[in-house]
Amino acid sequence: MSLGYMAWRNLLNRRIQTLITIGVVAVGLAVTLAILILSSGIKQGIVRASEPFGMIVGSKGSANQLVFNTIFLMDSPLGNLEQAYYDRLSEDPRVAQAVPFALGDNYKGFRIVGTDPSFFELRGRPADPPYFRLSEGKLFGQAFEAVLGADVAQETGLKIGDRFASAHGVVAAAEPEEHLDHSYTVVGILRSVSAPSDKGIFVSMDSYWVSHEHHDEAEAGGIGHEEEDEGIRGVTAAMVKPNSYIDLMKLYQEINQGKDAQAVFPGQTIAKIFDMMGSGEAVLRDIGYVVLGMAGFTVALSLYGSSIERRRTVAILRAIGAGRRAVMAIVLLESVLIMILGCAIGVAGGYALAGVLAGYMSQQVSIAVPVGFDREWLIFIGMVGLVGTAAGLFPALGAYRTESARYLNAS
Amino acid sequence: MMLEIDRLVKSYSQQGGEPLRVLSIRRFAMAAGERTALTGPSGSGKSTLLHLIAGILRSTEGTIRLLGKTLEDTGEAELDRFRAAHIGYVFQSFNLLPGFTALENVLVAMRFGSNLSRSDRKGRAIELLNKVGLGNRLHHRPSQLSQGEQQRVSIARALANRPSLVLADEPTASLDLANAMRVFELLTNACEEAGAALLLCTHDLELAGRMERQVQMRELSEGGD
Ligand SMILES: Nc1ncnc2c1ncn2[C@@H]1O[C@H](COP(=O)(O)OP(=O)(O)OP(=O)(O)O)[C@@H](O)[C@H]1O
Ligand SMILES: [Mg+2]
Repeated sequence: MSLGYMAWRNLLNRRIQTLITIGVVAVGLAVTLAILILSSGIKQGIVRASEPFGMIVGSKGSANQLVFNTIFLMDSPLGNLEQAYYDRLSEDPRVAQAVPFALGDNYKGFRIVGTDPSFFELRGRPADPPYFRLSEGKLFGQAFEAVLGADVAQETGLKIGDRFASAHGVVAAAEPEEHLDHSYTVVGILRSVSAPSDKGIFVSMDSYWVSHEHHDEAEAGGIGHEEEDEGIRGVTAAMVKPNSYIDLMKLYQEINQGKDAQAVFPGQTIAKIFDMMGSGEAVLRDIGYVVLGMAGFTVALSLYGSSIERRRTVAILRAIGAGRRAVMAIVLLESVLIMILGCAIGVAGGYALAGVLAGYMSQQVSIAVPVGFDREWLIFIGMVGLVGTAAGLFPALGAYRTESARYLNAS
Repeated sequence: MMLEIDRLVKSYSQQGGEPLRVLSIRRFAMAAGERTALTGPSGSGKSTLLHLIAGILRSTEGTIRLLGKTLEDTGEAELDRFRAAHIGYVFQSFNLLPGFTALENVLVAMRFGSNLSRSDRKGRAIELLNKVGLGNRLHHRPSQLSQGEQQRVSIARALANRPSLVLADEPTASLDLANAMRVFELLTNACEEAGAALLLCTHDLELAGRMERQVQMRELSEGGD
């Protein structure tokens, strides 16, 4: 009969207590681990989603807003860049490519993005394949042809050849004011990129302008929309690929020093957002650590709570010839078994919890949150196991020192 | 002599006072296979003596020689092995490990003190439990057994490693009369059959009277110093 088996039988004898202890360890570890997994996954997901966008140029205003407009398809759009400015920018010899990005309309809440075919040339890194690729159909050629993001196709059920009418504004209105005369025809559907772009509808700049000029006429004579319509010939933003790194830095400085526009590196902006999120994450992590601390405390308490019963067990074992070391090993093995089970269940639970939450998040904000693995977490899990086992060291030492004679006659 | 005790003293230190002498024995000896009843009032040191003989407690003065080994000169780890191999112990109550079945309780003792192979151990454990009338309760835990049945398991366990000496500390005190008699008979017969010496302490003078030799604590300490 092995010492491990004897420890196991002792644990089974205190079944409820053992289960509660394992449960507390598992829950504490699962919550903390899920927070670690998700916070790193969310960062990776956002960074991946921002990769193809390069430097973003938009009108002066909040950098966050510009990033939200373009990468996340969220937040109300900044004012438009003037067309002349955009033209000058795209013709600048230092610019290899300037992809327009115009917001203004929606279909059932999915934002319609006016752009040009170069949008489908964007890549994360120069060697990567294009980021946006068709799964069906073709790219838009003429006005009022639309390419749908994967989520749009899935959620609206629109198929190649279907037609839909856009509504003015970037959010769905209760009673949509549709551009009835001009409906779009679906010509292509994109592969999912597991990013907010999956919720975009991409059309040519022509359709965007025609639709809005039409809108101007419709509104003419009525209540003026001058303010809104003023910069209508223009774009919300431009994704700029420079010829070289030096050009990039020069452009960045020039644009930001000028008074017409701002240039933003999404990576930097997102890093700032992460910093803001960081304090929230730290709070969550602290909560996780508190839960874990309580778990450790529970292990110690449960092992301590069973010490009266254990003294008798120790006394019996000593009386039948078990050495101090054997007795100590049995008690220590009890806490090792609890920690192994608690950690195993906790790791499985942590990944399951992170998986469920990551799935929920990718559904809500269309960001693929990878549920990954970090060697640091292994160290963390190891630490938890070690601390729990150390909590078992005290009763083990107690058992080692127990003056067994005292507990033999206790009745 | 199998057991020889000479000028044995056990005392406990007290805060701000003389050490408390709880036991003082001038001479006591037992022959192999001998069955002795030890009687004496509560607090006279019966349990203390058994603990000293088993090597669970260390004496303050004097010597205990058991099977040619002087316990005072023996290290703790060796004493543990010696106890496992040569001494069987039965206490008043709470003899058994609560999480283990009757069979496992016997096997645990064999783990520490038997030189039998694994499979032989199980065979012997079952045989012993059969002998104490519990062949049909092998897989029951202490909580599923009566007090008397628990004592019978502990008798089987005490004999598991073919000890030379069985120490029994009021083994019948928590049993009703009928059960007490049965357990007592079982214990003495089993020891006789196994050729083990038995040192049994009890308050029960009638029970003591049934043993071949009776010793009172008072006699042992008389003229002690
Ligand atoms: N650790 C200790 N410290 C101080 N005194 C102790 C200690 N252990 C036992 N004693 C004392 O030693 C004396 C003998 O105790 P022991 O248990 O051997 O008596 P006993 O004859 O077995 O009594 P009973 O018949 O009630 O079981 C008692 O007075 C007891 O209080
Ligand atoms: Mg006693």
